[in-house]
Amino acid sequence: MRPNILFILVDGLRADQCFGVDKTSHTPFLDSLISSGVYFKNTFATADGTMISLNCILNSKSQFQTGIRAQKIILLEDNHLQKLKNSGYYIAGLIPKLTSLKPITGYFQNENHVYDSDPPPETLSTGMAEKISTILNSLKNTSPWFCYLHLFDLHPLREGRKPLKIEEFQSEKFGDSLYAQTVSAIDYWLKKILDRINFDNTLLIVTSDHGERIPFKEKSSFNFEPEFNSATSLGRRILPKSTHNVSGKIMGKLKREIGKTKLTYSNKELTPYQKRSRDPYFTLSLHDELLHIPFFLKGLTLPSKIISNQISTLDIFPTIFELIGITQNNTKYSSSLVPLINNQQITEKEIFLHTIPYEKESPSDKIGIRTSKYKYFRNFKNSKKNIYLYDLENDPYENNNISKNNLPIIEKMEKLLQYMQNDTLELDNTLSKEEEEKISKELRKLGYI
Amino acid sequence: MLSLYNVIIIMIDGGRYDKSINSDFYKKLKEKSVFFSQPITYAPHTIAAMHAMFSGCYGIRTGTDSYWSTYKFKKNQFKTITEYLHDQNYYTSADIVSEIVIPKQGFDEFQIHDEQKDDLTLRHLELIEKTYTNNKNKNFFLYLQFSNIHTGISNEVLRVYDNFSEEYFQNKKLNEKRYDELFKKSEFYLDKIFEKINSLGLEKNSIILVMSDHGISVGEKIGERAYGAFCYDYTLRTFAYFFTPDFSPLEISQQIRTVDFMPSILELLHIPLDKNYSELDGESLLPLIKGQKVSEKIAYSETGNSLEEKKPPKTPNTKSVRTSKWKLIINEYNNSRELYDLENDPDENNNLIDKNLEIQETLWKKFLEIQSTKANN
Repeated sequence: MRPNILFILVDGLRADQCFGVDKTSHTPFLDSLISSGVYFKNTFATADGTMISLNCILNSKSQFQTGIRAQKIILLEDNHLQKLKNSGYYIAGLIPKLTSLKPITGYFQNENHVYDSDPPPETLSTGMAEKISTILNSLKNTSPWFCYLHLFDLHPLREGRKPLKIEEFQSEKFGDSLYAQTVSAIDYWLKKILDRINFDNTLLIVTSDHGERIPFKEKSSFNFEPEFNSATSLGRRILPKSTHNVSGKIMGKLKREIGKTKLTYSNKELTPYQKRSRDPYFTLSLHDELLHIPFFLKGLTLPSKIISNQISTLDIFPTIFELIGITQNNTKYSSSLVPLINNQQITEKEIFLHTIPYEKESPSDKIGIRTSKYKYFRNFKNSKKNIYLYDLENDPYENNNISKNNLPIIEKMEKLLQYMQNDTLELDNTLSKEEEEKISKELRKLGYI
Repeated sequence: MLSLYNVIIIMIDGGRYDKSINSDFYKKLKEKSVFFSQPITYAPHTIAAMHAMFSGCYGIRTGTDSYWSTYKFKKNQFKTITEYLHDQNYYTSADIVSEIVIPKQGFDEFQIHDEQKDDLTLRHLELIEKTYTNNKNKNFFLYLQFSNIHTGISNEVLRVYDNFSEEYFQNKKLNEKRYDELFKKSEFYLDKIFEKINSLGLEKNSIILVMSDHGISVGEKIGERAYGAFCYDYTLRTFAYFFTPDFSPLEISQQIRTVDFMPSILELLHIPLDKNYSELDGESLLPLIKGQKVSEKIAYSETGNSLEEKKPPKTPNTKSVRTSKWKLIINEYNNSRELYDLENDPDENNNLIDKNLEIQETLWKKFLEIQSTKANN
């Protein structure tokens, strides 16, 4: 019998709050995963946002192969959920109620598989922990099962909101930022939920889809904007209603301008890394704070190990498959990491990066490549525009753009980027049903099918 | 008096290079033609191979890069040899095995034969006669696909075994015998076709190209029972015999690409390239034929390995770059690479990848350059 698989994806969980010198969160449960399982400390997401990143994870295909601008989950014919289903797995899960994530629910066989994601979203402390326990309890008589849990607990932070029922963790003991404290809260609940899991026959995965900004000194860009509360209420009282719309816009613009000036002044002495931390959450970015995520594996007979090789989220499922005894080939973009667990070496793959794109092309879209030595990215369309190159070994916080003096490295990266783009899934250029049928008929006649 | 030559292309579908050089009949063809002993096909299967040959461009740019992509051919960007000749008022005619194997653009007549029933020798003899008779005051372009080798392989191999059938790979002698018998049919066919061509005097006013689109496995490598799965030489290396009234018999052993045929024929006919269309990957072989020193070009090939699936994939997943001395194969389906010293290891058995050979990086760079032509196209 194949083992069960519990896959927990904590949306927006940064690696540096799970392990390492910058960690201030209090996470005894995650720490225990490291001491009793495998932790890949250099795992990187392929994008700075959920949809594109999750498409890469669930298909182990590059951003270009999974429909970049689809803005929803694209599950290709051979996606991993399908493979698990084909291998006899009962598929269960709990995900935020979002239209863009809906294709995943098509695989879920359990009831009540979505939760309210409207701001503020449900979190572990507001009742989701019970929902998860109910699902896990319902799986007791089913085997093998695969359960996918997508947690939104950190999501309010990116919009400057405080997660619900976090007060208990708002002290220095649990971290020096609201973000770190929320991670501590997640850790507390995970321990509670997973207490009764039998890891002898269950493989646990805890990972994320992308990182997040932790505003320097807890002050994000919008914190610098004046609130003008009394001016607003005064205006509402004395100005005719018909002018509220226009005056509101003027006020908004004024707030933003003042905020911008104050932010610039406050940022004066900060490093580029610290400045970036205050960018609004919708700023597209391929910096490591948005890409560096944790990847924990525990269960079965896995050893205790910390692996420092650079790996990408595309490698997660190939690794799971090998661990549960389903063979599949490595690809151009993904490999099973089991050899690393077994003390063997594998060749490092370049990780292709793409900012989470809007439906229409935006000048802020970026594409790039990450190796353990360098990070390169630039405007998604124009290889001469907005070029960034970082020496990650000597500048892990990406403070110094060295693109100007390193043309040979950029040229090499550029060729690799173009090779990657060849795999673009041409969603609007696929064969029509009639064409496909006609070709199938001809290929059958010729003996190829 | 016609100002241009007719063009007759006879395509021996699945013709292996090694069989042609050991055949007495083909040896005779060689004695009368400009013989290219090392043309490399773009794809080891007819559809992508012949779209590349007709357009002088690799399928990575034209869009026809797999069994499934006939309708993806970017006809507004790439002009085929048929269209060039049609624009010169040629009558253009083809007889082929399926309507998806070559680009249709520019053909006046586009006939499909039934490979299981039709006598191709008889059919093509009649077609030559008819085309000649109907076009006495007009040049013509005739494309004939000899599909009997494919038919035999389709019936006796493709429909019987899969790419991993032990029974097939353990009986290499039987496979060779089967192939040899099928290849012999091409000798009989060509003999009759040339008899007809000569009887009509067409050899005096025609460019005749006898070529193969790809080779066929006889069980060399487990995982490929026929063709289209790998990028090894037994399917990539083909043969070509150019018959033109202008040139004396000659053998050219330098590596060339089948995408070079189209610009060569156009140059022979003094037809300039249409600047409204994309640039070609192929280059005219005329300087080589004239004895000039021409540097060897990298040959790029790609195909889709179906692995355990029952149908070929829609996009290529194995690719190669080749010189006459070295070949780098990139197997994207399992993320492996292979490097072969073709001079000392023509059967590609000793994989030299990651042995610190400089050529590996050189070929990889070339490979990435070719890949970028798709992104830039």
